[in-house]
Amino acid sequence: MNYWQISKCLLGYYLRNMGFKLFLIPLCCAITWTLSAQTINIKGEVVDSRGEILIGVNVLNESSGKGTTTDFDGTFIIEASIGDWLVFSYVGYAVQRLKIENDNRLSITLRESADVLDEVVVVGYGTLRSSRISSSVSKLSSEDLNNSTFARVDQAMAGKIAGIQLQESNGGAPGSSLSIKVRGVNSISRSNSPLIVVDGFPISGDIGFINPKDIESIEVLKDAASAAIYGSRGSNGVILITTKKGREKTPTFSFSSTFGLQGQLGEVGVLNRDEYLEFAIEERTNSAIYQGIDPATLTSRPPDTRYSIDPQWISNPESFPDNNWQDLINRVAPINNNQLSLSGSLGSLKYYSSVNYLDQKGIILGSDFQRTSFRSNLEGSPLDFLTLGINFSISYSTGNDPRSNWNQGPVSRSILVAPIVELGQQTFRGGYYPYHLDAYLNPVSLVNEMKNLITIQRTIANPFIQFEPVKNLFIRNMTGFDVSNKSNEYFLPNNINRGRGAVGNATNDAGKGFLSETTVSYLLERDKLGVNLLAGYSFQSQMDYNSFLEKSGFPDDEIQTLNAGTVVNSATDSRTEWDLISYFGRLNMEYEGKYLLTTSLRRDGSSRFHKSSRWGLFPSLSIGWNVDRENFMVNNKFLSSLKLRASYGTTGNNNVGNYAYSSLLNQNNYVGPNEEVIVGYSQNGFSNTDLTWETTEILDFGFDIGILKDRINLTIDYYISDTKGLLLNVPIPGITGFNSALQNIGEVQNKGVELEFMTNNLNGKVNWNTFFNISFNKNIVKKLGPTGSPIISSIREASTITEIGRSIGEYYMFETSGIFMDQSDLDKYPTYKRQEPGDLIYVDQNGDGQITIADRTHVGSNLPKFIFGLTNKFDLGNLSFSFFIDGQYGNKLLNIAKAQHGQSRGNVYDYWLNRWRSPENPGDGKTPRAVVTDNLTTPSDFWLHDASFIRIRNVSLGYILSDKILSKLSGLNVLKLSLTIDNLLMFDEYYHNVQTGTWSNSALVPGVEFDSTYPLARTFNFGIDVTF
Amino acid sequence: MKTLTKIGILIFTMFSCQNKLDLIPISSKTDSGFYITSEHIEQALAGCYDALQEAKVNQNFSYMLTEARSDNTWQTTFYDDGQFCRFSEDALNTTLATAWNNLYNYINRCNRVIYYVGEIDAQESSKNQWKGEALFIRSLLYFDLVRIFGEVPIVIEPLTIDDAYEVPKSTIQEVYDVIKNDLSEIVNNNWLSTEIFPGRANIYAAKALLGKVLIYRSGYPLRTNEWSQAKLLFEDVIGSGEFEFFENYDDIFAFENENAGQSLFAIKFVDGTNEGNSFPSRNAPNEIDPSDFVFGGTPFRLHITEDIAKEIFPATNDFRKQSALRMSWLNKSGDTITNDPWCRKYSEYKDQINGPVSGLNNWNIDFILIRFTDVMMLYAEALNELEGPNGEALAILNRVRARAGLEPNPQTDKETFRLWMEQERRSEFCFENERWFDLVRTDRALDVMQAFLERQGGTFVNNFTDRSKYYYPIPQSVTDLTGIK
Repeated sequence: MNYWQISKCLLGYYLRNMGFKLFLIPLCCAITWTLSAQTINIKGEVVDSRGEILIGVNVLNESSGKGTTTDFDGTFIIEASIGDWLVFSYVGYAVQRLKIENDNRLSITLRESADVLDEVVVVGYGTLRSSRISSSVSKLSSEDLNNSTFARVDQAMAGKIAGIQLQESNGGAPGSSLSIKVRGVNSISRSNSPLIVVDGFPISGDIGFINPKDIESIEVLKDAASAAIYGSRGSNGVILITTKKGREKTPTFSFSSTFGLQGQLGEVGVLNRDEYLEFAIEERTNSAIYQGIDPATLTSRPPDTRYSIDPQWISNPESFPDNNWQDLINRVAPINNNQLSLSGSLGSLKYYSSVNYLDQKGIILGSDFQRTSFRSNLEGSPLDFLTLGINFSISYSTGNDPRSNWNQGPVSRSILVAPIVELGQQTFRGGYYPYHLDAYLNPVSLVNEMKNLITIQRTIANPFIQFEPVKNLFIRNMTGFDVSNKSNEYFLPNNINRGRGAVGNATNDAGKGFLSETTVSYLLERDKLGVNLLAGYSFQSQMDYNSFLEKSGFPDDEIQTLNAGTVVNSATDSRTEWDLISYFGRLNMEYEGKYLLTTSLRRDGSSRFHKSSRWGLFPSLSIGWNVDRENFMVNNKFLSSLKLRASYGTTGNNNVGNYAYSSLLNQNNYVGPNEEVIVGYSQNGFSNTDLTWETTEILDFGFDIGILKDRINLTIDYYISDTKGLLLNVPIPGITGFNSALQNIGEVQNKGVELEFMTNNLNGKVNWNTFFNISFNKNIVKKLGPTGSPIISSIREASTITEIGRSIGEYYMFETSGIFMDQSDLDKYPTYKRQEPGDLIYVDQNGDGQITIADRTHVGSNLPKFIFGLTNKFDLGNLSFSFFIDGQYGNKLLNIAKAQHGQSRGNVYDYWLNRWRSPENPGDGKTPRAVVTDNLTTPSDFWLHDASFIRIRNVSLGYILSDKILSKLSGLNVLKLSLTIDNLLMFDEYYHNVQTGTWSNSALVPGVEFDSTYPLARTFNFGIDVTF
Repeated sequence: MKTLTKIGILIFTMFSCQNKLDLIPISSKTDSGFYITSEHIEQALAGCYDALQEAKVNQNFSYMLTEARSDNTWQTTFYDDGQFCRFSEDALNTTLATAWNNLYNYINRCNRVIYYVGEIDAQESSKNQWKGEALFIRSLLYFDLVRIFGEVPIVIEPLTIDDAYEVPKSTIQEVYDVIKNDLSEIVNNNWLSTEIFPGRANIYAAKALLGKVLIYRSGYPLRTNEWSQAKLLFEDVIGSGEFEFFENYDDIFAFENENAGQSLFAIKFVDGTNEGNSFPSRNAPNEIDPSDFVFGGTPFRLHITEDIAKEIFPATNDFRKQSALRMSWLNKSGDTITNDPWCRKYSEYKDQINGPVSGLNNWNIDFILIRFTDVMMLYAEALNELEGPNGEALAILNRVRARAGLEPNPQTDKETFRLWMEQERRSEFCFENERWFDLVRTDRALDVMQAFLERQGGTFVNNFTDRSKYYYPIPQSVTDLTGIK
């Protein structure tokens, strides 16, 4: 509908109703018309989507300004005239508007707020109604979170919000965290994790201590206008987590319990016995020929892992076992999660308390995770002008992990140990198979014998006090602490340390965080003008303690605590701290509910930088226009809501070391004449007093559209984010004595589009909602270093390049174009080092007829072209069904272990089945022949994998027993039964493993995997929720 | 409103804690306020000696670029030195970058001591000793750099980042000149003590090193003909009477003889801390059973070539073979291996573990950097060049041979004597990272190594066809950054 049509409608409206008053200005018209219209009593009833009556719904006649609420039967009576608009609003439900056409009794159905636009949204240091927000903020409500059985908050968030990429940074290990990225990668060398604020307390470290069922809402501040209020820490976005508060009048107990069984989603394909033996004989024969050894001698040479063949392989292959080591360290593992909470209010005191116990066994033997958490949120107003409260949480978790993600750990070894190794072999006691690499230890022994126990305790308490000396003026102080302790007990027994004696260590990390913030806010509501003013001051400090003790010289493997060791290998203890002082202010204004303006300013001072450069200013401005509230739009039947937004702001990233500007001295000791240790020092780099935070400026345009009574909602954001003064470990000439120096140099741009699409496809007996989000982000490096020369970073043999005009950390290696099929191919293409038929063809990029370092090229990026999430929910009376899919497309993953693949000293991946064997039997044309040559360790795109995937993350079936029947039966209010399946299916190119690159994942060298990713689990959960 | 005032005061008081931002590191020293006292200089100097522990023993590049390159040892292609063995490396090889960056880091440690020592309030004699030690260590480091990479940039004082982009490569001659001048300054001004403190530089070590540098200068590629200056320096050392020619080869490496008279300068280590020696563990096979060799070995060990095991030590009565190689050992599968010897220098003495060891790579035994035998043999080389082989030179050679249990060599000509010395040095200093550099300075590397590659199966002969492989390529990361090739 275009502007002309809208104008015509309006014209018609005036003509019909007001006749000769046509030429008066519209405002006068409206007033006159209101006075002259005849009033009638309109009656009606308000119910929710399940047909249950709603009590206390606000009903407002927009035209007259009169209002009422629904009574205990959910009914109301209100005075109105024909043509008036009624507005129905209720906490947690969508606001609905209705035009009075006649005096018929009305029946209103309000929809829950999960799929609506106008709800209360937590923004930094306060809340706003979403209709008043003019920046880019996404929200997840408790319903989104409670519907699933995830044990961690970050798991529950994955795929649900546009622009947020969550990756299992540690594979599927129980209790392990996910990495979170908001709108791509801003920082090249610093953390790209957003700031996480729990109930107003910015926390550091893992958020695993939070029990997802305690959460009321999660808001993500994506653009600088919303995040600028967090200043020097806001550039990677801010995630605000708000926990539940007591609401109900009567005390309400909720109990929920889930029990699930987890099984491995997919196995890495490896060779079985016969395939392995064939491969091993072929590889060793070829390798011997390559090294100039007579292949006929291989069966008679003494056993080794390279150029000898066990005669039994040929004469009696059946005598070897055919072990599937992955199966042997896997299990079907139970997971059990129980939660009891009590909430309610007593006078002005609102309370919410919960206890939670999670017990998860991992699908890899020897791994598990238990968490006990307790939370108590209290808030009350003993005096009219005074509110007091506290959010208190304490959590304790323990977990065992037989270093599953270590590149010499059990997961790696379950892939690499050959099937022909006997069950007890490849340990100190069990002996080693001499034709097999001894470093490939028995994975079953690893999971059974390694001790690696991690214990985490965390207590956060933030009491607050709030005065309201004058109406609508609030003075609030919150002073809290965050005390954590993480300890790690590790013991590597002699038996799996290849007889070198046992080694044990103990790590202890303690943290002590303190926060005090004071805010003053003032709320002004005149008829058309709404103003919200905020000013504040905050001081936050963090002190971290670390100690580490390692001993060896254990007499045996029996006593595994460090007292049994006789040699101290290492004993260290250190402390670091940081402080942050901030002043901030914000002004929110709205006029007629149509025009919105928010501006904020923050000034931060950080101890991490030198005196001369530690203070910075972070301004922001955003404007919005609720177009749907304009007169010319109110009648629009098609567009039910429309908001346009634009914002601009500045944020920072201060994720550097605590004393980053100064050059710390390394301790480099020597030995004196009497064998005593002499303490020595050397510089570890240049100091840089100009060092300061990275600054990100984000320009964001967005609109929110509701179509057909908000049955279709669409939010689109387009943003350009420029990060300047990158905190970059710039490579510097090694002749200075150092390889790199931390400087504020360089510029990165992220541009992208985010789309959130919500539709109510069916409304009635069956309610079907679809939520879809997709985000496209393009990352471009704009400036680098003093000379602008590219940064080539390497990780083992492989390298990546970060250069101007391209995205951060692209893989930079040889490109391959298949296999030398025969001698004629070999004559056709240039070769690298020594190559023969069956080897990889490297592409001669510069066409100089030879393969040299200069032929390295861009062979892929770890940054996805887009990420998406799709949820479908069906409600049929008491039955609900939902499924949730997410995925990413267009990125690559580097398996650095491929430099070691293809050697028969252990097992190999099943892609080797498609290897080149001879010109007549050339395989798939991508996999080279079996031989150990320089080709194996030459970095090329042969080591890359497609990291695109689609994962059905969650399927859930729920049944709610209606409370009427139930309360008669047992006094229970709600009983909900659910069946969910997590990770039902995955479509990918990487053995159903996570595509994260769990071994190493930094901005410059992203997505690196080392055959050591803890496999993902598919989980079947049964859950029960009771409220009484 | 009284409450309001109080709250106002409360807020205001909070605004006044800005000094909380001035945090200084609790658990680390910083460079501001360092290099000021004599204690600081001693600490910084310990950091320089630490660099020698790394550069000469504990860092993999110490043997990968030297012994692995030679015909004494062989490595699989899985390790960086597998490429060096086969002469198939290119500038991407990460060990090259590690060597480059670390050596310049160590040089920087010395540069700072040399730069700041003048400003310290201390006795002149102490300041000279500190300066001498730092110059001595820096000379050792540049000696390695120039022998590994050939032409390299010279940095002799602290450098700013901007200036570093401007420093060009110097010629081999220029680098050797710096080394020669520094050592000459120590020797001429007596900046090092004549008293020998174990693990610290002394004047004799400086003289011996200068003599060795002059021998290298007199060889390929400079051919400066400084034999007579070298001869004088060696005579000074030998004539001092401070050092001893052990009559039993095995005793040289024995733990009980640490700090004894046949070592001019040894790098000190002690077990049970992070200051242990990794040389013995590293050279033992990864597959060895810990019951046969304490704590076992590592996958980095170099494989002994058949050349040295069978050809060079043909006679079982060469005591040095007994001392340097373990011929029979037990692997973890319980098999006795007799065809894959490993280097047991420093590891075993009289078939027993050589000194205290508290874990893998954590040995007490010191590593001798300048051996008296080396001084004697270089002296013999100088004599051969200046006076011919048949006097003192041959006597020294035969003394070394006699100690090994070998028959004396007869009188000969200059050229044959050179080859005999080459052969004798190979046996005497095997696995001590001397062989490759010896072959290059005598310009024999091309002939010797091609023949060796032929014997290794012949498939790698084509990798080494000209003298460009006498020096390793400048690491690609250096070229990428500064354009130096």
